[in-house]
Amino acid sequence: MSEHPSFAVVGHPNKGKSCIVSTLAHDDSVRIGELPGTTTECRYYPMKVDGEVLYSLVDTPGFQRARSAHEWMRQRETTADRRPDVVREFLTEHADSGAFPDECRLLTPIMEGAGILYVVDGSVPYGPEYDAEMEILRWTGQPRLALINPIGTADHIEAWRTALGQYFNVVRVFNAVTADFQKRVELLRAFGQLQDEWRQPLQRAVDNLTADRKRRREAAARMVAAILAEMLTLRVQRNIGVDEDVEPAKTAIIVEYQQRIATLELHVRKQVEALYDHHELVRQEAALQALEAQELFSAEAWRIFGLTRMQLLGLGALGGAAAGGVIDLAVGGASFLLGTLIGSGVGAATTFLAANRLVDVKLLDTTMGRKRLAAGPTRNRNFPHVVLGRARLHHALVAGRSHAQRGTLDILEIKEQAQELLGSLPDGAQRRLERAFGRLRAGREITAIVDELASVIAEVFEEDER
Amino acid sequence: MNTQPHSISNQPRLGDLLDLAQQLRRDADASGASLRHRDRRIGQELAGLKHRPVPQLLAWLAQVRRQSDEHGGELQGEFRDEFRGDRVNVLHRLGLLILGVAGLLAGWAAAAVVFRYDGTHPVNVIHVLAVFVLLQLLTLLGFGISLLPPSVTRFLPGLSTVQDALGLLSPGKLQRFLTRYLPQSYRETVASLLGRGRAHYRLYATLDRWVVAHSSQIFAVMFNLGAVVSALYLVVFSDLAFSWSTTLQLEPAGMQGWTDALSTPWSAFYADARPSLELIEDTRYFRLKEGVFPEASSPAGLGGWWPFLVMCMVVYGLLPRILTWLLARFRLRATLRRIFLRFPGSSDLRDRLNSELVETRAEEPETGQAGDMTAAHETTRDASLGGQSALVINWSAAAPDPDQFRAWVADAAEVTVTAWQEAGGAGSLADDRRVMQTAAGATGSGTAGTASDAPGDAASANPGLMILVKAWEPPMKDFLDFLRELREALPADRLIHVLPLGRSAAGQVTAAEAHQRDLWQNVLARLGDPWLSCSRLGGEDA
Repeated sequence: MSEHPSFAVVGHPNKGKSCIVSTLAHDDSVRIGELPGTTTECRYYPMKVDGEVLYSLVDTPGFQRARSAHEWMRQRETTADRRPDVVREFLTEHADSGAFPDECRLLTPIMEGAGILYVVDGSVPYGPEYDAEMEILRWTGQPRLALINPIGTADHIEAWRTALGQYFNVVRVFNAVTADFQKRVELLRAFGQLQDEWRQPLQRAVDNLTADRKRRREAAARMVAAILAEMLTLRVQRNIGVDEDVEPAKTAIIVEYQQRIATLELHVRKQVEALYDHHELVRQEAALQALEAQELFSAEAWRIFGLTRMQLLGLGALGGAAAGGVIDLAVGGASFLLGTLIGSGVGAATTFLAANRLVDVKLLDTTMGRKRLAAGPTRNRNFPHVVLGRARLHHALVAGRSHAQRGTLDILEIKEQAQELLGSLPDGAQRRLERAFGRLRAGREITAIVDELASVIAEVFEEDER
Repeated sequence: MNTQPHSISNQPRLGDLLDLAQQLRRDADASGASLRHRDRRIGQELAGLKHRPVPQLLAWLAQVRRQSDEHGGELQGEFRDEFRGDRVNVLHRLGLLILGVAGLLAGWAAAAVVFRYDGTHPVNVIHVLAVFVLLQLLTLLGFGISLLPPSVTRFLPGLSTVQDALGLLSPGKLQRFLTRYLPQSYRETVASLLGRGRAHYRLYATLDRWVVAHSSQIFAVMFNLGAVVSALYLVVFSDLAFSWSTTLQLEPAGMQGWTDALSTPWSAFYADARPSLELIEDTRYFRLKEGVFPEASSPAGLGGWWPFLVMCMVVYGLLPRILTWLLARFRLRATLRRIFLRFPGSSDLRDRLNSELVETRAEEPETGQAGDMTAAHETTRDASLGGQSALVINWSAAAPDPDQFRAWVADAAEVTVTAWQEAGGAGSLADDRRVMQTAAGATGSGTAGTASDAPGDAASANPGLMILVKAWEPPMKDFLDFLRELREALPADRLIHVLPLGRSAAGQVTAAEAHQRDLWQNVLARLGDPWLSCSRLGGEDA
C-alpha cells in the first residue's frame, strides 16, 4: 500500500473519467475521446509539493465486462467479509487470462489501497447495466465517492443520486468542464472525508494548491504590468530622406507602432496561458481577432474595455487637482483652494483633448540629409485602461478555464459580456492604476512603478475570479 | 539539504549583473516547468537565504554558472555559451587600476611642477593654493553638478548641457572605452542591458552614471595622493624656499587672514601648520627690491610654509575626494544591489526559488493510440429498416416500454414486432444465452430476411432480427461478446440489425442522434461482420 492517498477514477466508458482527471490534475494532455476505450492503461497523476506526493489520481480504463466479472465473483462468494478477497482472487486468476483486461487494470490500484471515485454522466438516464460495476466496487471494501458529471443537461441527476446513494459513502455533482477553482478544491476536501488518515494530506494539498493559485495570479499580474509599462513607454522611430513625403511615412510609422503594441499583447497572452498550464490551448483566427492589432485600436474596443469620456474627465480632474493642491499647500492655503480648482479644470481639459488620439507622430530633427520621425510614447489616457480591460478578460477566461475544456478560446464571443463578467474596478484600484500610468507616462524609473502596478493588477485579478 | 554558504556575498559586481542579464535572457526561451524545477531545487538548497534576496540571487547565479560549466564543457565552439561576468569584473578592475596609476602619476607630476625650485625663483604659495585648493574645489563642484538628478536639472535651464560637458571630461569614461575589449556576446549583452527598451533606461542610466562617477573619483583620490606624496618627497629630499607674491593689493595682515581661515580645521591640534605673521612678512617677494627676500630674518624660515601647504592639500584636496569616492562607491554598490533585485525577471526568479513547486500533471506521456472515428466507416453495413416483421432483443432495457416501442416503430417504419426478448442489463449471462437460442430458433435458417439493403423485400414469414441498444451508451465488450455468440448461434449470412435508440425527456424512445449512431456504426464496423448492420428506421436521416 502506498504512503499517500490515492484515488482511482473509475466508471463506465465515455462518462467523463478523463475529464475529471484532466480538470483536477490541471493537465490538458489527457486524451479525451468519443470512442469508447480511449483510456487503455492506468495513468497516474501524482500531486506533488517539492517532490513530496500528497495524493495521486489514477485514470483507469472503463468497465467493459462488469456483468461477467461480477458473475465470476458471485460464484465464489462466501460471506461479506470475504468479498475483498474474492476480488483479489479475481485479479490473480485473470491477470494473464486476457478475459478481463480492463477490469483487472482498473481494480488493481483499488485493491492496492486507492479510494474510489466513480464517475457517471448525470445527463443520461440511469440503467440496470450499471448495477454490476457498482456492486463490484462495493465488494472491494474501499472508501467510495460517486461523482455525477453532467456532460450535457442535468436532467437525470436525482435518479442517479438515488441509485448511487445505495452504493457510495458520498455522492456529489461535479461538472468537470465548468468547475472553477473553488469547486475543484471543495471536491478535494471531500476526498479527504472518505477516510480519516486522508484528511490531513488532502488539506495540505488544498492549502498548497491555493497558495500556488495565488502565486500564478501574481505572476500573471507582473506579466501584464510589465507589458503595460513597455506599451506606455514604447517609442518607434524612422528615418526618411529630406525630400521624402512625410505623410506616407507617418502612416507607416503608426502602423508599425500598432503592430509592436499588438505583438506585445499577443506575447503576454501566450505567457499567461502557459502560466496556467494551458499549453495546448487552441485559438481560431476569428477568436484571435479580439487580441489582434486592428481590434485593439477599434472604436468598439474603447467602448467595451476602456473608460467613458466622463470617467476619463474624472481621472484627469483628479490628477490636475492633486497638482493644484500642491500649490495650495505651498502658499499655506492663502489661495483659498483656488489651485485645486484650477488644477482640476486644467487636468480635465487636457484629458479631453488627448482622449481621441492614440499616438502622435513628431518630426524630431533634420540632420545629415535625413529626417527623423518618432511615434510614441502614447499620451492617451484611455489606452492603458483598454489594454488592462482586455488583459483582465483574457486572464479571467484562462484562469477559470478547466483543463477538460477542449474547444477554442473564443474571446470574441464572450467580449460582449465583458462588463458583466468583470464588473467595474473598485475606486481605490482605479486611482492607484491611474497614478501608476501617470508616473509611467512621466518617464520615471519604471521598475518600482511596475511593482506597484503588478500589486494592483493582482488584486483586480483576484476580485475578477470571485 | 540546506546550504548556508558563509562565503556568499551581499554585494553583486558589474559582472554578476551582466551574467544575471544573460541568464535571464536565456531563460526567457525555456519552458516554465523546467525553470521552476531548476530554480526550486536551487531555492531549497538556499532556503537559509530566503529573506536575503541579494545574497540568494548571487548564490543562485553561482549555482547556475557551475551547472553551465559542467554541461557546457561538453559543447564546442559557438554552442558553448559561457558566463563572462568574471572577465567583465577583471576589465572593470583593470580600468580602475589604470585610472588609479594615471591619477597617481598625474598628481606627482603636478606637484613636481608646482613645487619646482631651482634656487632662483622660490615656490609661490599662491600657485600651490590655486592648483591644489581652488582647482580642487572647482572640480569638486563640477562633480556635484554632474550628479544632480534629472528631476533637479530640468528646472534649471542649461544645467543638463553643463552635465553633458562635464561628462565628456570625466576620466571615468575610460570604463566605457574598455567594454570594446569584451567578447562579442557580452558586448551585445551590455548593449541590450543599457538599451533594454526605453522602459528601463532610467535604471541603467543611474548605473552608468555611478560607474563613471566611481571611476573618476578613484582617479581624483590618487591624483591628490600623488600630489601630497610628491610634495612631501620634495620637502624631505630638497631644500625648498617658499614665497608669496601677488599683483593684488594684499598686505601681510590680509594674507594672514586668508591663511588663518584656511588653517581653521587643523589650527587647534597642529599650530605649526598655521603660518605666523612673521613668516608671511619674511617671505613676501618683490620683483623690484634688492635680493630675493629683503625682509627675511633667517634663511631657515623660508621653508616654513610646507606644513601649511601639505595640510591644505590633504584637507581641501585629498579628504574631500576620499569622501566623494566613498559616496560614489556606496551609491554604485547600492545601485547594483537595487538593479539586481529590480531587474526584469528577478521577481519571477525569486518567486520560483522561494515558493513550493506544486505539480499535478501526469509524469509519463499517454500511451496507446487514440481511436479514429472515421477509420471503419467504409466497411460497415448501413441499412434502413422498413416494412418488415422483426424479432426484437431489447438490450439493457433500451426500450423501457415494449408497447410504446411497438407503436413507435410501426408508425415510423411499418415494422411489426413479432417477438420480444430482454437481454443484458440486470439479466444474467445465462439469460442472454437463452435469448440467443430463442432468436436462432425464431429466425430459422432460411434465407428470407437475410441481407437486403432494400427495405420492404423481406419476407414476413422469416422475421428480421433487431437488437435495440441505448444510443447514448457506448458499445461495450459485454455487448460485443453477446453479438459474437449470437452470430455463432445464427447462420453466418443472417443479417443482424442493431438499432441505437434515443430517449425523450418523457422517457419515450426516439431516433438516435447522428453522432451517437456514428459511434455505434464505427465500433460495429470494426467487428468485420458483413451481415451486421447498424440500422436506422426508414424515416431517419442517413
